[in-house]
Amino acid sequence: MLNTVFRSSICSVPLRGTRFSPNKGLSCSKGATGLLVTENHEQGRNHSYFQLFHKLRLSQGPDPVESPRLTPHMVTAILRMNERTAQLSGGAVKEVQCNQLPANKPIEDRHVEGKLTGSSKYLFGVFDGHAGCACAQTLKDRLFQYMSVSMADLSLLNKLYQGREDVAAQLIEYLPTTTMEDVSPDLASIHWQSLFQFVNDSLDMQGMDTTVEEALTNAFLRLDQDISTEAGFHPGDEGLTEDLVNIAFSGAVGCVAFIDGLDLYVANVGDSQAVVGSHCSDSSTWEATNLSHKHDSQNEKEVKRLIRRHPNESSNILRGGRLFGELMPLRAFGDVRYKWQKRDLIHLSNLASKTSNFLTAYRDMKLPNNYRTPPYLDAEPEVMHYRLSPKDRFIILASDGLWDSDGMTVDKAVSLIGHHTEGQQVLGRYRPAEDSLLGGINSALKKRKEGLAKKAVDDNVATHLLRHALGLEHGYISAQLTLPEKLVRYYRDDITITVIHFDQEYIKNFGVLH
Amino acid sequence: MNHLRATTRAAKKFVKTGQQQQEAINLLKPKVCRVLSTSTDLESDTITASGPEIAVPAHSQVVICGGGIVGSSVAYHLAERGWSNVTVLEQGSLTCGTTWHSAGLIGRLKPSVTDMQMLDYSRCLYERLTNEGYGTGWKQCGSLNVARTKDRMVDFRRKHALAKTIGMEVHLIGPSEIKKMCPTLFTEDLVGGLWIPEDGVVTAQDVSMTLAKIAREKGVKIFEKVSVEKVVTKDGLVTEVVTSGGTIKCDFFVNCAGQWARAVGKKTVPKAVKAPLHPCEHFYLVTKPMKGIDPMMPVIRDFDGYTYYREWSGGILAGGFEPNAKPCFHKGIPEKFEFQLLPDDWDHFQILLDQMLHRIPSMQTAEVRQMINGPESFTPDSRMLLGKSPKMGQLEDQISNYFIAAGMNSAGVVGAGAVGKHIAEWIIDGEPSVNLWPYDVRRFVRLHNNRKFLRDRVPEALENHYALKYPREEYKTGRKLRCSPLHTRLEVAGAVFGETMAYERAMYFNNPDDETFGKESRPMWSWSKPCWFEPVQEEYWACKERVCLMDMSSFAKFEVRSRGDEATAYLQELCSNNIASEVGTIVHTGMQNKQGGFENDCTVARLDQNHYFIICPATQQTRAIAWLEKHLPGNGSVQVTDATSMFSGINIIGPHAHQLLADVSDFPTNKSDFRPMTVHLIDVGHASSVRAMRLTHTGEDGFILYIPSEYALHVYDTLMIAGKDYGVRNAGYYALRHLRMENFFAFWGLDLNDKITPLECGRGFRTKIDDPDYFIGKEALLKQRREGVGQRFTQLILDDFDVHQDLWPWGGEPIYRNGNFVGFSTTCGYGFTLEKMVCLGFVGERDANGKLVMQKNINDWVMDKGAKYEVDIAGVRFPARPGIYSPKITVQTLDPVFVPAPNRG
Repeated sequence: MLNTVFRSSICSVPLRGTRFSPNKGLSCSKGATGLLVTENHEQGRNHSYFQLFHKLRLSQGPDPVESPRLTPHMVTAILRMNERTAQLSGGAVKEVQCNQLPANKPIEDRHVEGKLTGSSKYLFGVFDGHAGCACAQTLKDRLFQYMSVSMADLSLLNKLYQGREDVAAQLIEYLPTTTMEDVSPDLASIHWQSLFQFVNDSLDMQGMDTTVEEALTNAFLRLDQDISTEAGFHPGDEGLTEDLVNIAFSGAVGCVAFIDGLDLYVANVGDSQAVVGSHCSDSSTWEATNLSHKHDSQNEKEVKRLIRRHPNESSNILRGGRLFGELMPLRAFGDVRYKWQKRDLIHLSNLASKTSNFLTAYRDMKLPNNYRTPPYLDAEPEVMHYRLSPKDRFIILASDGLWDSDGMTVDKAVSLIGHHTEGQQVLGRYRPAEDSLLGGINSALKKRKEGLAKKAVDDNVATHLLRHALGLEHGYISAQLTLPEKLVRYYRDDITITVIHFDQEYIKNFGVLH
Repeated sequence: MNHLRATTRAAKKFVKTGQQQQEAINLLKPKVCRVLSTSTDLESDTITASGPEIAVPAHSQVVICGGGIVGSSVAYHLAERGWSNVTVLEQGSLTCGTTWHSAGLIGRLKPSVTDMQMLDYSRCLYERLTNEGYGTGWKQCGSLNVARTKDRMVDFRRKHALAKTIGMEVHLIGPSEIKKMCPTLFTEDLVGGLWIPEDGVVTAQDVSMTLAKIAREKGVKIFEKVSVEKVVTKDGLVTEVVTSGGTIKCDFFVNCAGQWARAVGKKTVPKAVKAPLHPCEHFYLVTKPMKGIDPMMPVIRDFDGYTYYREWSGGILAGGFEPNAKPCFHKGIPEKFEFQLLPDDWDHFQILLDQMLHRIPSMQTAEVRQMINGPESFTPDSRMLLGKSPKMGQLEDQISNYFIAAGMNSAGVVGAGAVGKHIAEWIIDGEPSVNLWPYDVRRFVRLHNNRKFLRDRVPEALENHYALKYPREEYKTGRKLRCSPLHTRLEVAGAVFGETMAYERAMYFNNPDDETFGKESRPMWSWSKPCWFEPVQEEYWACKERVCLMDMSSFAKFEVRSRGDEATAYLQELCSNNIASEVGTIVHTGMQNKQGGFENDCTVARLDQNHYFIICPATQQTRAIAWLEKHLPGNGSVQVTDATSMFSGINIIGPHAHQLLADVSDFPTNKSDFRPMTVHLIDVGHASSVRAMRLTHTGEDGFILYIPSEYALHVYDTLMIAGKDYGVRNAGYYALRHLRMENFFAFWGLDLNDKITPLECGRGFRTKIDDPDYFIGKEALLKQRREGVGQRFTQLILDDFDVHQDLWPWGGEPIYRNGNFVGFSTTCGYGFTLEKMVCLGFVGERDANGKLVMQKNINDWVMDKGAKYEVDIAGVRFPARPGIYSPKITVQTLDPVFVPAPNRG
C-alpha cells in the first residue's frame, strides 16, 4: 500500500503537455520520465508509454474533446463546487476568493485563511501534499498556530502557558472560506504538547529581538521538527502511531502570506507560488511580481544550496530533476524518509518486519541509493517582504497544479484576474448622478463598456482562473473533468487557488491613519 | 420626482392658457399627463369598470380590443363612415400601452409610395384635427434627414424621386444648408440630407385621445378596465367576445392590442389566432432645457448614427434604433403593465448616446431629465401586421371577421391614421382601397409565430428601422428554418441563399472551387452592380445554352379533389382561365377577386378527372389557402390540402433538358409525346410517381418535376450524374428572374397584386372572359374591356445604361412619359441576351389628382411612336424603349426535332 503511495508521490508532477494531442504529448519527455522511474528506472520509454496511454483513451470511446461528456452547465457546477468567498473589512484585505479542483482522490491540497485573533493581521496558506494528504492536513491544522506563537508577545505566551488546548484553539480566527476538520482527541493532545513546548521555548527566548522573517522561519522549522519528532514515540497506541508516522512520511510544500498593515510577507517552502498583481494606471496594464521562488531543480540557487550541504554527492542526489530521482520539490515538510538518519529508517523498517500492524506497509521501504548525509530536505522557508502600495490590487497563492497547467504563467494569471476585476466593477446598474452632464455620462459609460467586455462567466475569480487553466473550450474542460481516475494525475495535479484582493482605499489612507 | 410633478403642473397650466401644446411634458408623468391631456372631458364619459357590475353591450357590430392610438383610429374611422355600433375595450386606460411613451414623430419618407401615401394621410388627418380645434400637439417643424455616406444619399435620392411623384415636398440639400437650417448640428461628416418641410411632430397621447373622443361623440362605446378574456369562434367566424365585463356578440373583431396582440390572439377559442410580433426595448432620452434649442427645430434623423432628435420642452428628445437591440417580455407581458416603463439601461444606451453627442455636440453639457425605455412591438420583417386572421397551418381555421392591426414597429403614431382608415374600409367594403399586401398577415406562415424565432428576429427588425437596407438584402437572424431536401447539396455547391416565407432558396451559386469563394470581392449588397452579377450571368447562359437544375421546392402547392365533378366546378369559379381541359394538361391562370385583381397567379395541372394540382408562388402559401378555403362549397364535397411540404420541385431548364430527362426516365420527352403544358406521372431514376410538367415559368424549354420529398435527393443526384456530359449545373432564383424578366413574364407578388387585372398585364387572352361560364371577377374584367384600363404592363429597355457603372434600378423607380409621371417599375434586371438593363412596370396616364385615366386603346398609347419614356433611378432619368410583348430575340424556338446550337450574340 505504501508502495503505491510512494509511487504517486514520486509522480507528483503532472505530465505537462500531454494534453489530448499526441504530437504534443510526445514532445514532452520531462514529465513522462518521472512516471517511468518506478516502472523500470530508465528513461526513453516514454513513447511506448504514451502509446499505451493513447490506447487507453481510445478504449474509452469517442474523443472526449470532440464529444464532451459534460454539458456546459455540469462543467460550471463542478468548477464551482469548491469555490469560497469572504468579504472582509478593517484591514488591507477586502475580499478573499478560493477554489480547488482535485486530481488526486482524495485531494492532497489544502488551503487555509485566517487572522490572528483580535487583530487585522491576516494569514493565508496553500499547502500541496504528496504521498497522501496527511502532512498537508497537519500544516493546515497547525502551521498558523505555530506562526502565531512565534510572533506572540509575552502576555499571549503567558496566557498560553497557563492555559490549555482551548486557548491554542483560539489563536486563529479562521475566515469563512476555511473549513476546519475535527482532529482526533489523541492527536490533538500530542499537537498541544508540542505547541506547549514551543510556547515554553518561546518564553525562554523572550527578550531576544526577532524579525517577522525570523519568526516565520522559526515557526516553519519548528513545526517540521515536531512532525518528525512526534512520529514513532508512542508505543501502545497503534492508531495514534499510524497517524503520526503517516504524517511524517508523507510530505507537503506550502506557501503562506502574512499581511500586517501594508507589510506583506510570503514564506514559501517548495513549488507553490505567490504573485502580486498590480495595475499600472498609466498604461492600464497588469503587472505581476513574484513573491516566491520555486524550490525545485529548475532553481539554480536551490540546487547550489543542496549541493553545498552535500558536497560529495552532487552526482547522486539529483537525478532527472528530482531528489534521488524521486521527489520534485527540494524543500518540504514531512518526508522524513529524506530527513531521518539511516539507522532510524532501518530501525523502522526492521520494526515493521516484526509486526503485523499498519507498519507492515513500511516493511519493504527502500532507502534512496547512497543515502549518506541526511537530512537532504528541510522546511526552511524563503521569506520575502513586500510593502503594499495603491497600485497593488491582489495576490494569488496557488499550488503548482495551477502554474504547471498548459499555457499558464504568472503574467497570464495576473492579467486574467486583473481583467476579471475590471469586468466585475461594472456589474452594478449604472445610474447617473443627479445633474450630471451627458458628456460625462458618456465617458463613464465608455469606460464601463471596456469592463463589460471583460466580464467573465464566473463571479469567483479563482474559478475564472481555474476555468482558464483547464482550457478555453468547453470540450477541453469537459475532457479534463471526465478523465478516468487512474489517468487524471498524468494530466494535471490538484489545483488550489486563493486570491486575496486588497482594499485600495485602506492602502491609500494608510499613511493618514497610522 | 417632486420637481418633475411641479413642472408638469406648470405645463398643464400652459395648455389651459392655450400656450403651445408641445410645452407639455406629459410624457414624463403619465398619470398626471392623462389629466392634462387636452381631451380631458373624455374622462368623465369613458366608462370605467369599477366592479363586476359593469355592463358591456350584448351586441356590437365591431369589437375593438385595445385603446391605444391604433384602436382609437379604427374606431374613429368606423364612426366616420357611419358605423357607430362599435365597442372599444381597453384592459387598462386609454393609451396606457405603447402610445403614451411614443416620441410622436411624423415622418413620411419611406421606401415605397404606398407607405408614403399612407403616412401622408395620417399627417393630414392630424393636421386637420388640429385645425378643427382638437388637441394633437401637431407642430409642423419639418424633418431633416442626414446622410453620412454616399450609399445613404442614394437611398435619399431614390426616396426623393418617389416623393416627387405624389407631390410631397422634399428637398435634397447639402451639408452647408443643413448647418444653416440647424446650427446645433455637427455637419462636417455629412454628405448631404433631405429636408421635408411638411413633416412634424405630435403628442401621441393627445392624438389618440382626440380620435377616441370624436369616435365617442359619434356613438362608439369605449370601456376602460375591461379586458378580453375569450374570443369565441365558430365555423371560421368570431361569434362573441367574452370580457371581464360580460359577453358581447359581434360581427367583427379587431385586435389592436399592440404588444399584447399575440397574447390576445391566443385567447381565441377553439384555436388561437397568430399574430407574429414580439416586444423590444426602445430607448430615448429627454434632456432638461438647453440653450439655443429652437422650438421649431426640425426632427433630425441621423440614420447612419441610429438616432433621431426632436425639440422637447426646451430640451431635446433623442432616441434611436440601435444594433443588438434587446427583445423583452419573452415569457409574456406582466400584468397591469400600464403607463409603465422598463428599467433604464445606460450601458446599452451608450452606443446611441455616443452618436447623439457626436451629432449635437451641445448635448455634452445637457442634463438628463429622463431616460425612457418603453417596450414596442416588432414583426419579423419590420412591417406592420394588418388584415384578416389567416389559416397558418393544417389544423387551423381562418377567421374571416377577425382583423389584426398591430405590430407597428415604432411607427404606430404616424401609421395609426392610415391603418384605421384602411381597416375600416376592409371591414365595411370587404377590402382596402390600396394594395396592403406588404403588411398583410398572410405574408407569414405558422413558424413566424414561434416565440423563440420572434425573439431572435425582432432585434434585427428594430435595427432595420434606420439601417440602410440595400436591395434584396436578407435577414441574418432566424434563418435556415425551412430547407428543401436538396439544401445541403446546394450549400456545398456554393449556393447563396435567400429567404421567402422562411424558406431558404438558392439565389445564385458561387463556385466553391474558385479561389475567391467565400471572399466577396465587392460588398455583398449594393445599389449598383451586385456581387452576384457574374455568377448569375454564368447560370443564365447555362440555362440558355445547356441545362440547369433549379430547386423550386419553395413554391406553394395545393391539391384539390372531389368525388364527383365538384372540384372542376369549384376551380372554374375561382380561376379566370378555363381549367377544364383534358386530363394531363396544365393551365396558367389567375384567380381574380371581385375587382378583377390577381388574388393569386398559379399553374393548375389536371392530374385526373377530379384531381387538380395547383402551384403558386412561395409567398402565396398562406394567402392562397385562405382564398381557396373561403370559396369552398359548404357541403364539404371538395377537399383542398396544402401539399407544399409533400413535394419538392426540381426545374430542369435549358435546351438539353429533354435529352437529360429522357436519359433517366422511361418516358419519351420529344415534343409530340410530351407536349408543352402537359403533366405526366413518370419514374425518374429509381424514384416513382414524379409529377413531370413541361413548363419552366421563364419561357425556356424544360420541365419541372414535382417529386415526393423523400425521393428528391435521389432524383437530384441522378440528374446531376446523368447530366455531367450535358454540362448540367445548378442555377438559382436570380437566373430564373432574369430569364423571365427578359421574356416579359409577370410574377405575382413582384409585378402583380390584387389591384392589377389580367387586362392590364396583357393576359386577357389567358381568361375565359368570352366563355359563358362565370368566374369571380368576370364582371369587373368585362367592364374594363368595355371602358378601358388605366395602366398597362410594359417592358422598358434602357438603351443608354452602363450596367457596370450606373446605379441599378431595383423596382419601384418612377417612370416618366414625355416628362409626365406615368407609373413605377416593378421588377428590374439585366437582360443578358438583350445586353440591356430591363425594367418591367405599369404605365398609365394620370389626371391632375394622380388618378389613372381609363383608356380603350392603351396599347397604342403606350407604344405611341412620339412617346419618350424615362426611368428615374435615384434622380437620374434614363431613356427607355417600351415594349408590350416578349422581345423576339429572347424567345427560344421550341423546335422538337433538333437541338439548337448555342447562339450567342
